[in-house]
Amino acid sequence: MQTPNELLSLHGVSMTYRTAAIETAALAGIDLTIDNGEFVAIMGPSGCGKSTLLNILGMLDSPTGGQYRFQGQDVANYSETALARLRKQHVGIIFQDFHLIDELSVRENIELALLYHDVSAATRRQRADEVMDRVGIAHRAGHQPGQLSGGQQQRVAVARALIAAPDLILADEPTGNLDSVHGEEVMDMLRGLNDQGATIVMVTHSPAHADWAKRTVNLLDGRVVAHDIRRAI
Amino acid sequence: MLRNFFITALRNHIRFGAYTAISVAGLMLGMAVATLVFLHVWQETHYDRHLPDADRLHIVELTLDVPGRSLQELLIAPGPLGPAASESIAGVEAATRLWQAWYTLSVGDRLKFNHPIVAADPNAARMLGLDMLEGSVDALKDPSAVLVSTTMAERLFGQGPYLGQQVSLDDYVEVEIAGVYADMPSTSHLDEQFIIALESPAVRGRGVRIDTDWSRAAVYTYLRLAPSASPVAVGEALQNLARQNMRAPDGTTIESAVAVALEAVTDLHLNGKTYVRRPGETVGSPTALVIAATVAALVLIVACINSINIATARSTDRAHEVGLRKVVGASRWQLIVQFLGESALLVLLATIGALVIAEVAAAAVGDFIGRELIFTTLLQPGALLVFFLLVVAVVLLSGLYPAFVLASFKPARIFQPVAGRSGLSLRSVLVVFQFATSIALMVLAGTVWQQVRYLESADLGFDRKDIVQLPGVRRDPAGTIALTRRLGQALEGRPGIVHVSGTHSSPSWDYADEAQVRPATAAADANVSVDRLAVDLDFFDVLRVAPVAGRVFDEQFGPDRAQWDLEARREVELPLVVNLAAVNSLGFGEPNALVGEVLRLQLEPGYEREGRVIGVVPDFHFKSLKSRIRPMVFFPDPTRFNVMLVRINSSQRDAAMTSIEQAWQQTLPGQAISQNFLDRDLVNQYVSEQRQFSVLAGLAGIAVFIAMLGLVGLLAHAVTARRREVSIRKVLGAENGDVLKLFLWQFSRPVLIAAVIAGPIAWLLAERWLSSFAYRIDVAWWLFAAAGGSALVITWLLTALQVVKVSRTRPARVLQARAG
Repeated sequence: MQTPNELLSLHGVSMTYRTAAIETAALAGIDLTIDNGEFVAIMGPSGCGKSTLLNILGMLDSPTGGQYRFQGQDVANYSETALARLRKQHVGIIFQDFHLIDELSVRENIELALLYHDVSAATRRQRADEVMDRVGIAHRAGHQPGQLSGGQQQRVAVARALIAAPDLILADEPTGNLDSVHGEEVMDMLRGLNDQGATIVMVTHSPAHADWAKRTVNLLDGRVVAHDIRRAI
Repeated sequence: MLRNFFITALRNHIRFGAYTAISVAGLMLGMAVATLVFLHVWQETHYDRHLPDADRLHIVELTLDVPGRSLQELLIAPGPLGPAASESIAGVEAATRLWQAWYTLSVGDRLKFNHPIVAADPNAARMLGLDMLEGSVDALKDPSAVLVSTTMAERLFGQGPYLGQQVSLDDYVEVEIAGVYADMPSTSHLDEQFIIALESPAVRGRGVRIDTDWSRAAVYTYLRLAPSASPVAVGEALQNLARQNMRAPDGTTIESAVAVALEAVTDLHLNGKTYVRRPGETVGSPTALVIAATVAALVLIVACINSINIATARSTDRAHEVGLRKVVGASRWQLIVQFLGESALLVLLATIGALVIAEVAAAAVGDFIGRELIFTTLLQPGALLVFFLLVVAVVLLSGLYPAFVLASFKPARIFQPVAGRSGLSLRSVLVVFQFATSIALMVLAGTVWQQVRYLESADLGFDRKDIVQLPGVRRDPAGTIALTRRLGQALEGRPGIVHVSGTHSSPSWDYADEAQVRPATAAADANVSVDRLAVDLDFFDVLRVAPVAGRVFDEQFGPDRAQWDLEARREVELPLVVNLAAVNSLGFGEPNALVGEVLRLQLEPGYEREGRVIGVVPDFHFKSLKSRIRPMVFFPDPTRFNVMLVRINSSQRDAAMTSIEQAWQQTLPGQAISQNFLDRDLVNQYVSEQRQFSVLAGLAGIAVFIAMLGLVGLLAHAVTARRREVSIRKVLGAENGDVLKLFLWQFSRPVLIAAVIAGPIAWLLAERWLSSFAYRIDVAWWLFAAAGGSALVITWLLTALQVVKVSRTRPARVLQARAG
């Protein structure tokens, strides 16, 4: 049942948070397949499980039920360490509030994503230069994140997600903390990356930004309620 | 307002319970150490303050500087000096004298033991402020009276009654208990248990002529000066009196050799050179007090640093509160007072805990350091004030800096979510200080331990095992010869007894007489100062020391045993055995060259004897390892034996001990036996070093523990504060190992820097301490490695524990929680 172009697929994935008193189902039986080269937007109201889904896709969390196949391997029951290894090889993540480390410079923040790969310092530098050029932040390489605008910070975060050349880029409300001008910039950049072949899954509130994607998945109460496939323009 | 401050403080401490607990636990331990050391220092510096008119009470100190002999500083003076002083020197209000000696005390057939007693002038009980519980303070006017302490009274007669009871001294003088006094406080240089009158027949029976003999320093002489009198002036007058009257035993004046000064009784404990009465007690040492106080202060500072670091590390947690208070109008000073108040609350809590710990531990610690620690000393007004100031100092030290840091937050900045790393560098410096202190203390404790082990086990050049010492055999010359002869004969041939020898001094006494020696053919100014020792013929057999040239003393040579004949011995050539050091200092290159030579020995000023060297023995440590081996001359002189050394067969130990017991009873019926193993007494020579080790090791352990407590707090905080960073790194692929490395490096760095700083300092201090020993170890490099290494390993363990805790949480949840 795996199509030749499939990057990942979820089958009946559920996620339940347990606290002492109550059990909350964040995801209840998600089926979703994402092919290489897709640009998917996940939409839905607050609390519908968007971020939980993204965390599972990014292997930051394991589902409590169901099957998650990534490049043909069933990773739902992988250990945390195994997931971490898979993640750093294949996944780049962009967060709503950037999550840059304040004490490190722009360059160091970007290189951080290669620090845990078996890559020489010279290669790290070179690759950082490349991605900084790509997102247009090279002139800020020596600055601290605190000295940058929100849009610039998100570019740094994008560069960091790109540097390890991941097969999948996950973006969690990448424009949520940005004004509309900077938001458009970031969307434009993601679209450009997708055009160059990157697979992107993006969580967003904004229908306008969702329009940049080639497919939209609507979630409500932990379930997929609609697929909306658009043709690439 | 106060109430508001107090409530916030309390709530804050409760909210951050673990951090507060770490602060308080560290401070509590630090304060407990400080309290105990404070007690000790206070007591040591306040000895004898309880004596009546303590500030006017002085003891006569006599210095004899006889040319060619080493300086003698004595706290005893000739008997007639005291009465002469109170008659003829204007500033002297009263004088009293104590004469100390060992006696055998017995009560009928029921009880018999050896004990030191003093004979005193009748006014002694008043001048020394005896706290009489029964009987009269003036009882010593009666020559047959005795005053006893409560401890002694109970030992002699149980529950009593005591007054009127008879005690026999040396089985021939009866004294009657005429008074019982409370035991003298342990903070007194005096510890007398049994006080008889100087007029007692028991004193005369020992052949002492205290009231007339100006030639011999014999009695402790206490003078009470008039309030206006100058101790220096009185000392000079005393010196004149002594110089006019004192004579050498041969009747010649020794005027210029005599110096007399007054020493205040209250200074005696810390500055007194040789005045130790209590068995097992060591003289007070200002240096040791300075060391103890310094180390305690360091431990306390290490504890204060915990509070400072935890408070500043947590300052970001409280930034909002500060901001809000400032917004509603609190001034910086009000906030400083508030935060200082919080510190005061912590210190107060810690102090209460510390006092409880100190009270409970006082007795055990007192045993440890060889002093009674009296907790209620703290209640003396002076001590209470100083202790209060100490607590205030701790409040300021631990609270002032964090208070300033917290109070200086700008409200505008606080509401922006800026990661707070302010104070990091100072915090690192303080952590470095904590670890440097801990490492240096560990190295020092290790060095002391090694030196103590060396002192206790070094090869002394003789066989120290299986030798029993029997002291108490000295009588008048003829009596000593007869007694030691009879005792020797009674011992020989009994089961388990191998060799017996009388000697003037034992290797465990760290003492030998001095003599001036030169080859008989050399000029008088060629004299060399040597140690001399009067020994029995079997002395070297007992010690298992073999000659390297010639022979040692032996029964089969007539002249050796001839010294036992008081009449004939002046006519017989004195045989001498010397050690190798003497061969060198007399200028003979080779031991055999000295054998057969005649030496002139000057034993007293004006008294010389000739002797012929019959053998040379290797250098061995007759005195303690604190002093270099001196040239030494041994010769048979049975009139001077103080102690018998008995080598026993180790496989017949019990039989040997029975033999010794029986031989003693047969020779000295009615006299109690005191017997000690030489090897045990040799080890006991170094009891003060052992104590120094125990104290240093204990304090080092506490310092390390407190520093580790602080580290746990800092780690917990750092790990929490860096959770987001850790999560980002984990999202980017960092595994637990990578995260661990991050923190290991962060927390290893201060330890490594501390080790680098502590190393040279500890080395210098260790060298300095060791330099007081003539024979010593080298400071071991591995101690530094071990101290630094153990600090590092503990740091790593604690770090790993904390990191494991955070690494269990999924990074997504941390990042989400923040984003939400």
